[in-house]
This record gives sequence, structure tokens and C-alpha cells, in this order.
Amino acid sequence: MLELEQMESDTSPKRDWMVLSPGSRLVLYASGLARRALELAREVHSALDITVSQDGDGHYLTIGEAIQVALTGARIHVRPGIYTESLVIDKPLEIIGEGSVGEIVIESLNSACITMLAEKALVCNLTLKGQAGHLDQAAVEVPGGQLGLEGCDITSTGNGVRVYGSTANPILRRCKIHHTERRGIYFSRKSSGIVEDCEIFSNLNSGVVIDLGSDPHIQCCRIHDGHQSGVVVTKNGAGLIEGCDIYRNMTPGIFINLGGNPLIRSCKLHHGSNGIVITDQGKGTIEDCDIYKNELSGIGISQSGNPIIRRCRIHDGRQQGILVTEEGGGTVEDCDIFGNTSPGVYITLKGNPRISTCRIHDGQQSGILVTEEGAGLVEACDIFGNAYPGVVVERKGDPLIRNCRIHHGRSNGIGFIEHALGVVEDSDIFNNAYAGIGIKQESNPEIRHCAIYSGKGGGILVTEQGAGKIEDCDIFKNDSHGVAIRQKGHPLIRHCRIRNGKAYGVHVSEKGGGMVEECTLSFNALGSWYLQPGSWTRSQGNRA
Amino acid sequence: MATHIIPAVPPDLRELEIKRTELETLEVELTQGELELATLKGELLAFERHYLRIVGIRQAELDEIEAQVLEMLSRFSPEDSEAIEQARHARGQAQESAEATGFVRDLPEEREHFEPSVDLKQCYREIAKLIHPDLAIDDQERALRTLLMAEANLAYQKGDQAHLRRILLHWKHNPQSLKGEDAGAQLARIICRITQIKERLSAIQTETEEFNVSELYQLKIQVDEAALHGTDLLATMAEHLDHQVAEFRQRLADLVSMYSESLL
Repeated sequence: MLELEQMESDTSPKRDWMVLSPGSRLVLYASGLARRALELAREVHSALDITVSQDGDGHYLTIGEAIQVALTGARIHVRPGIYTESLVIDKPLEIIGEGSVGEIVIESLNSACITMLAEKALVCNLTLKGQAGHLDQAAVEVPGGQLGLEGCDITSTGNGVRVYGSTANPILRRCKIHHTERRGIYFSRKSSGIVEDCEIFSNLNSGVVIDLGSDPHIQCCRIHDGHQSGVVVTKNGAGLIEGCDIYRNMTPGIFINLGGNPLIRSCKLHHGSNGIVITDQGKGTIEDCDIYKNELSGIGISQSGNPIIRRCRIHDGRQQGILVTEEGGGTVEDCDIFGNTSPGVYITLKGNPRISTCRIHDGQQSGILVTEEGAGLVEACDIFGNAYPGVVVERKGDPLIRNCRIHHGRSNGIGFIEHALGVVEDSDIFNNAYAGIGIKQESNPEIRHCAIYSGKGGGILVTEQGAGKIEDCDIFKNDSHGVAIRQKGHPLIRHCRIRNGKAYGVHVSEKGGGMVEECTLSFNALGSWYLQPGSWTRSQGNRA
Repeated sequence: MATHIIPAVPPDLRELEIKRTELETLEVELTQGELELATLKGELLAFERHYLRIVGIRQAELDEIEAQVLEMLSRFSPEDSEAIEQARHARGQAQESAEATGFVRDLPEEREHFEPSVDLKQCYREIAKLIHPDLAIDDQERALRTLLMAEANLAYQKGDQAHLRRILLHWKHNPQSLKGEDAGAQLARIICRITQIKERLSAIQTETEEFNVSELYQLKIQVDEAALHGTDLLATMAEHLDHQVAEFRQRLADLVSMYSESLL
């Protein structure tokens, strides 16, 4: 066997073939050194399991004392009581409240309840009541390290939890952070971390703030009843906000500005002011969210805000579904926008979004309203069942509408009013209660390659000095005139087929003017043309 | 019904066959026993090396400084026999720790755990079966087997399978391993081997039990159990000792300063 030093109990004959080189001797075996090592191990092991109790039946009366003597990896059990302490965690350890969380309270005086200075630590099942020493101070300060915070109840006269610095990476699970006088959780200065299954509510400032390049994950949280926003992402903050329920906050559920660029996925945002606001060069990707019953617009985009919004349901809002204003941009794809009190999509003040493959329907006003020099591209959308025109363009609004279906509206398909511009091409406009397209008040759009049919109030109505260029359109089976020109309306209608209507192909009255050229007018029930005396529409190269 | 003629087996040969069978069974038990014992020792050795590197060195350092402190204190009170005794005891302890750990610094970095592979175990088993010293028929052969077995043990604990194979090959080419004998001599040799093997099996059992109750093994169990709960007990012990070393260093510095002042 191996050469056993001082092996007093060895009574067997010496097995010399087991005697090896000095490097393979067991030097501790049966020696006093092994005994001392074992004693030390036991002593250290006991310092890894410490109980704190104010009743005196633990190892220490205060948690601070326990932390001081605790060794790396120690677990400190805290029994019920009110501990007026500010804890500094400067080594890896665990602090576990034993009993009901409401009965294990740490109260700080003019400082944080917990300041995290270790690389890693875990704090569970405690009530933390912070009394901030200065404006920004939090009940839990995490300037670095991975602090696990589980099942804690956190309130504060300052922030709830403050995370700052690139090494800060806490994990908060099943915590309640509420009634703080500032922010619930504040991620700053390139920090990160995970907030999971937490309830963040009734904070005087925003529930969660992410700024200065921070990038946390906020998952499956309920963020509600805040006096400001649910989540703010600002100053190049990022982060993932996923599966959260964000509601009844006094300002937007999520507010993004100044280069903030989060990924927001599968969240519910409801019963707040706005659902989400992206402004002042804010960005972000918003996917698969349900945004509903908000007092203001479901999504608001302004001042070079430029988000990507995909597969969201935006509905039953008290105002617009999406508002794009003051040079806001963004891309809205595959969304379902319906049942909103104001227009489903409202583009104004040089707003210029891209709205693509959306369903915009059953709104209490228009599907899309483009006004006050608003622009944008609306393509491949299905716009139907709205109370006002499917699309309204007014006041120098100038959108490009392409490959859309605009139908079954309770008014016009598209209405151009008050100096409206814009282009509509390759779209189907049908089954609307009024004229498929109405152009009035000096509006001057271009309509081309469209099919305009089955309108209850005719195909196209140009009135009140409306103009416009209508080319290569197929206008058919309308219940009234294919094209009606009234009250000094003066469009250019070219290369169109105007057919199978239940009244005239072209009906001009009340000093209507303009030009109809190289069109085919056929099978209209009352005839191809009606030109009221005093009207002056010119006809050139048409085939009846 | 055909009648079979069963050839009579001479009594010596029958006895030889029975004993050979018994021997074969015992040899299997022996090789397995040796393997398990060698594995246990390998584990303990790896653990001890790891312990000495992480904790032992620090313990020795602490013992040395503590001895210096107590020696310094005894200088302040040369009449105090208790202080002198304490210093003497501490010095003895420091010496013991230093001796135990002195060689560790020079050893190459080793594995933390001894985890022999199936192939390595099989190779060792084969060697134990063929070369075990208890199978020797004379002193000369025993000396050779002892040498080879010692080498095999070292190779096993180092996980050096290639070396184990070389030992095996060497043995197979050794003319002593191919000796011929008559039936009577064989029977005598087998009975002798059976006795030796039984003695060895009993010794293996005793040694295993001794290992299992040893403080070193208890320490290993404690460390393993702590690891199961995610605690690196040795690292924590090291941290604890580092704190103590720092405290004793400070104390020593204070004493040296006091002593210097008292000389002025």
C-alpha cells in the first residue's frame, strides 16, 4: 500500500510493493494534520450557515454582524423582526428571510437597505423599506455584480432598485416594487439584468427606466398604476420587454425617446394614457403586442421616432389606433387595427410612416386619416367597415396608397378634402356606402390602375372645385354614376373604363368641368353621358 | 441405451481441478479487491494533493506565523513556562505542517479528482491477476513481482495506461511466467496461493475499513457534500486562513515593533 506516515493502526504486514515514490505518499493520513484539517472544515462549514434573530435565539442579533463574519458562500437565515440596518454585501452569500415576507423587514435610515458590492449574492423573502439619503438613492443599490433578489417586497422614498454600471447584472424574480417616490427600477450606465415575474406598481415616477446604453430583460411582469409611464427607454437604452402586462399608468405604458431602442414582444398595454409612445429619435421593435382601450392613441410616433411595429393588435382605443405626427416615421406591418374611436391610423404634421399589410377596420371614424402635410406609404392593406371613409386625405396630406383593398365602409372608400394630395394606385375600392372615391375642396390627387366598383353612391365624385388625375381605372357596377362631377369640380379622367353602372357613365352638373379623354363608357343604365347646361367638361377620344 | 465409459480421473488431478477452480474464483476476487483499494487510494491521494495546494500551504503559513508570534511573546516573558511551552508546541506544529506541504509546491499540477477510465481499470485488473506478488512461487519471483506491481500502482494512480501495458508486455515475455510443473507440485503451489490470496483479501478489507474511518476520508466526504450544495469548502477554508494569516502578520509586526522599542 501507499506509504502511510505515522500509521499507528496498521497491523497488517508491510506491503512493500505498494511503497511508491515520495510524490505519491499520503502525508496527512492518520496524522494530526488531518485531524486539524477536519476540525477547520467543520468550523468553516458552521460559518456558512448563520441565523439572525432579534429574539436572541440565533447566532447574531443583526444581519450586518452576520455578513461581517460570514464566509464566502455563507447562507444567512433571517427570522421575523424589524431590522433597522443598511446592509453592504461585499462577499458572495445568501440572505434568506424565514417566515412570512411581511414580517421580516429591513428599514434603512437615509441610505439604502442593501448595497451590492460582491460579484454574486442572493437575497430572498425580505421586506425592504428604503429611506433615501438623497434624491436618486434606492432601497436596493446595485453598482455591480449579480444580485439575485427573489420574493422581496420593496418600497422606498427614493428609487426602488437602482442598477448602474456595466458589471451590474441583477436578477429580480417574483418581487413587488411599489409605492416608491421615484422610479420602481432604474437601469442606468450600461447595466443589464433580468426582471422576471415581478409586480411593479403605484410608483410616483415610472415603473421601469432604462437609460444610457442599459440592456435588461423585463419578462412576464405586471407594471401598473404608475403615476408616470410603465416603462421608459431613453438615452440609447435598449432591453427586451416580453410578456408583460402594462396598464393603468398615467403617462404612456411604454415611452421611448432619445435613441432608446428596445424589443417589445408579446406584451399587453391597456387602460393607460397611450399604449406606447416613440418620440424624439426613439426607435424600437414592437411585436405581437395587444394594445387596447387606452385613453389616447394606442401607439404614438413623433419627432423622428422610427419604430418597427409588427403583428400587433391595436384596438378599442378612445382615440387613434396609431398616431404619427410631427415628422414621426416608422414601419407598421401585419397589424390588426380596429374598433378605435378616432382614425385607426392618423398621420399628421409631416408624419411619414410605412403602413404595410395591415387590417384597418371597424373604426368609429376613418380607417386612415392623412392630414396637415402628413405623408406615408400605405400598401397592401385591407381597410374595411369603418364609419368614416376608409381613407381620408386632407389639408395637404400627401400619402402613397398602393395595392390596398378599401371596402365595405359606411362612407366613401377614399375621401380627398381641403387641398388634399396623394397617389392611389393598384388598389381595389368597392362596396362602400358612398362614392368609392370622393374629391373635393381643391384637392388634387392621382388615382391610377384602380378598380372602383359596387359603390352604393357611385364610383368617383369630384365636387367643390376638386380636381385630380384619374388614369387607367376600371369603374364598374356602381349603384349610381360611374363618375360624377359637380360644383366646379374639374378632374382629368383618362384611359378609364366606366361601365355597367346603374346610372350615367359620367354625370356632370353644377358647373362641373375638367376633361374626360380616351375612356370607354359602356353599359351604363341611364347612358354614357349627362352634361347639365352650364357645365363644361370636355370629352375627347372617348368610346361609348 | 448406450453405455458410456467415463475415464477415471486420478485423485490428485481431481483435487487439482477443484483447487484450480477455487483459485480462479479467488484470483478474480483479489484483482477486484486490489483494484478497488488502489482506486480508493488514488482518490484519496488526488484529494490530498488538492487539499494541500489549496488549504495545506496556507495552514503551514499560518502555523509558521503563529509560531513566530508565540515565540516573540515567550521572549517578552522568559519566566513564563506556559508561554514557552506554547511556543514550543506551535513550533512543532509549524514544522510538521511545513514538512507535510513542503514538497507540494514542486509537484506538477495534478487532477483534482481521481477518475480512472474503464480501460485503465481493466488493464490494472489484468496486471493484478498476473503479477500479484502473492502468486509468486519463490522469493526471487516475488521480488520481481513486487517491483512490477509497485510500478503498476504508480502508473495506475497517474492514469498512465501506456505504461501499464508495457508492464504487462514485459511480464508476458518473462520466462519465469512460463514455468512448467507436474500435477503434485502444481497442487501444492495452488494451495499455497489460495492461502496467500485469502490472507491478502482479509488485509484488503481491513485496509479499506481503516481508510473509511480515517480523518482524511471524513474530510473528503465533507468537502464532497458541500460541493453538492454548491459550496467550494476548500476555497472557503483557504479564504478563512488568508484572513487569519493577515491578522497574525499584523500581530507579529506589532510585536516586533514593541520588541524593538523595548531594546532601545
